Amino acid sequence: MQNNEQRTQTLQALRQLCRNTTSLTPADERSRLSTGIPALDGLLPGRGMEYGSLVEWLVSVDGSGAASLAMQGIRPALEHRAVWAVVDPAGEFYAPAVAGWGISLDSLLLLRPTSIADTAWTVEQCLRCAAVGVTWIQMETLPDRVLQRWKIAAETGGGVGVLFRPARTRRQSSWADIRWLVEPQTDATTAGRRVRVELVTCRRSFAGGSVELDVNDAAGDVRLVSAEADSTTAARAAGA
Amino acid sequence: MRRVMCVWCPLWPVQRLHVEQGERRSPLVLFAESRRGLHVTVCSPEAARQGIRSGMPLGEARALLPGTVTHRPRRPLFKPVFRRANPLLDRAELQRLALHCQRYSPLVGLEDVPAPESLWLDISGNEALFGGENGLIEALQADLGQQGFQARAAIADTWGTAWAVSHFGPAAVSVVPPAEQSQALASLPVGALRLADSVIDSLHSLDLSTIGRLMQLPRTALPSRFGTELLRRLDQALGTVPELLPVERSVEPLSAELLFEEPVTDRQTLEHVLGVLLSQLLGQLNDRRVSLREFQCRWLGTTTEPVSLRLLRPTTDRRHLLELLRLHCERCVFTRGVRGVRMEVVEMGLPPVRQGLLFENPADKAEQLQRALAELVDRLNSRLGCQAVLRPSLRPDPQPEFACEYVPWPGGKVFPSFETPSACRSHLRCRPLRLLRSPQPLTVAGSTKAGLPTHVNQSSIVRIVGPERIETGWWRGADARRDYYRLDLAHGAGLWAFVDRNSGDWFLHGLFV
Repeated sequence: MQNNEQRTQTLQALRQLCRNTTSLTPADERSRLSTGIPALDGLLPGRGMEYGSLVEWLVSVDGSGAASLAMQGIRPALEHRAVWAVVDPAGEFYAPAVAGWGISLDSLLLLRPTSIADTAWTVEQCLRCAAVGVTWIQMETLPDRVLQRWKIAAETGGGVGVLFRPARTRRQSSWADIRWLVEPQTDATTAGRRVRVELVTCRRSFAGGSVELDVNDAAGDVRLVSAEADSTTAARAAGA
Repeated sequence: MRRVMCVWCPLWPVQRLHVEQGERRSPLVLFAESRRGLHVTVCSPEAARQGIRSGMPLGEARALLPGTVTHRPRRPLFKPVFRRANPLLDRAELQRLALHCQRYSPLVGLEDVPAPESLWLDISGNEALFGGENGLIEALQADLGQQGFQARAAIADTWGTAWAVSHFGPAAVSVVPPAEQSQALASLPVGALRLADSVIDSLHSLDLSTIGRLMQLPRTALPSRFGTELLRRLDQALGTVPELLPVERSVEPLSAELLFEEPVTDRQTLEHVLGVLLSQLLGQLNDRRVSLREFQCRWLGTTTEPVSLRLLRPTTDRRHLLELLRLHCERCVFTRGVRGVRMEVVEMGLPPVRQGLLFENPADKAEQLQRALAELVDRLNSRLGCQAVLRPSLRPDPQPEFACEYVPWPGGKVFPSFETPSACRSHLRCRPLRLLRSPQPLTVAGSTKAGLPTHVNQSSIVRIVGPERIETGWWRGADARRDYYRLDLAHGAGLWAFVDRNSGDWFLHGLFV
């Protein structure tokens, strides 16, 4: 009996310790950067990302809508620093879609390096620059050392690095502060697309939370899918 | 006694482009953008013969000059050329010509108007070197003719008279004898006095078509009727009122050079030398209180391409400049030893003004960010090249692949970006973030009641949104007739595809990544 009480107290003490470790002061929360989606902010400590973070979006299917989710965070980030650097080695980034999201194209710095070495160097330079708010990059294969350099560069520059990688790299080690896994959900009843977003990694906090979101590209909004009510409670109330 | 020559190059922007292209027969039309849209600013005589006039809407001009123009049968066809006017380049080229003309006079300048076409030369005392005024004017005209320019020239006591005679005189080359301005001007139209169009119209309405008739009127009545400008211009032409003329001065080139005793191939040595030369160059710039905007570094004794650096903002920051040079040198391939290095300033700029403040100022922070961005773009340009550092500019073209133009960042916007009204934003939001370089064929299967496919590339379609019909591009050759659909596949991918209405084939054009 005593052992159980001691165990409970120990667990409570550990929980409190964890809360103290992850909880932030109001000043810290103000210095955070929103993802543009309140449901995702709720999964992060301090309801937002830190400045100088590297955010990784793990995409299970090409064309699953991860970029549409990441786009929501561009406008809050550009309020502090007006330049959005897009590193586009493939030359397929389509700027008119950006204008459709209400982001001024004057803030867009589009970079088209031709080799992997140049791409890695370009991203590092953009992350290190104090004038760049967001550095956006899509690459499949990346050496671990490059990610480490990018992380240090992001911390030096204070901007945010947004990186898109395939979901198969989930098990690989990463220097990203936040890793989101985006999995499309099949639902033909909604007007837009439904995706499940899971917080795979979050530095200085616990990961594991997930939310389901409806992405409506035409309306330009992302909504949290409301959870279904527990059917057993209604059945009990009906005396079944 | 002062003698002034006016050299007028009629239709200077057209002449400049003709000399650059080496093709004189093509009808050339230059246009600019204004509140009324695109309109013609100037055109070549070949285009004018087709009915093109300055101020005409560009669309009307294009209609008058469709496709090709044949002057004679069995002769090559000359396509009309439509170019955007570049007044800054026109002025810069005329300034270069003015500096070239300094061999005829130490005092040369451009006429003081927004779009100059004439040069003035103070030739007082210089005519003896060319065998008289006639010899001087003929030598200059022959010199310009060798460069491909057609010019009319006149010499007189005043700039006003020289300008009037060169523009409205009967001969291409005229010399007005000393103190005979009145006689030379008398027969010329009142437009030769460099007056505003409204004043010229007023004079014409009173049947005052020539300067001679104007000079017969009492001077006291002129200002109240036509404004003070008329009397001032008349007096300037007659020489009773002085006229200030701006002089073009050639700037002594700034350079630093170091020659080696033996050819050098070691990159560390070259980088050290670059640092030394850069310090010397910045020292010279500091003496003149100017900053570096563009400079060139030549490798003497080799065929290696010289390094040209143009900065986003003028700077004298040695660390930044040396870093840019190193980035450039990384790409240089030296086929043989370098015998020397020469660094030259191509363009200077005014140094950034810095006012120190006791407390932190938000404007200072903005300035710091601007400087950081300029340095970043300079670095990116140095390593990737300016064709890889771009800024998008929307174009009002419905065909997706032509709806955006990418211009190099340092040049800024070549064309003003098409403003997107809020109604267009939702339309653009339906565009994918990833557009393939060229549409890829899709394999479709099945058919719904509406005739749309149920499977694409062996994956079932759960939702189809569309169509968005686009029919455009007939003037580019092949007419684009497409119905765009958004296809949501069962495994979660969002495709942007179209069916070609000419062939009925499906193509993938983008991905909603």
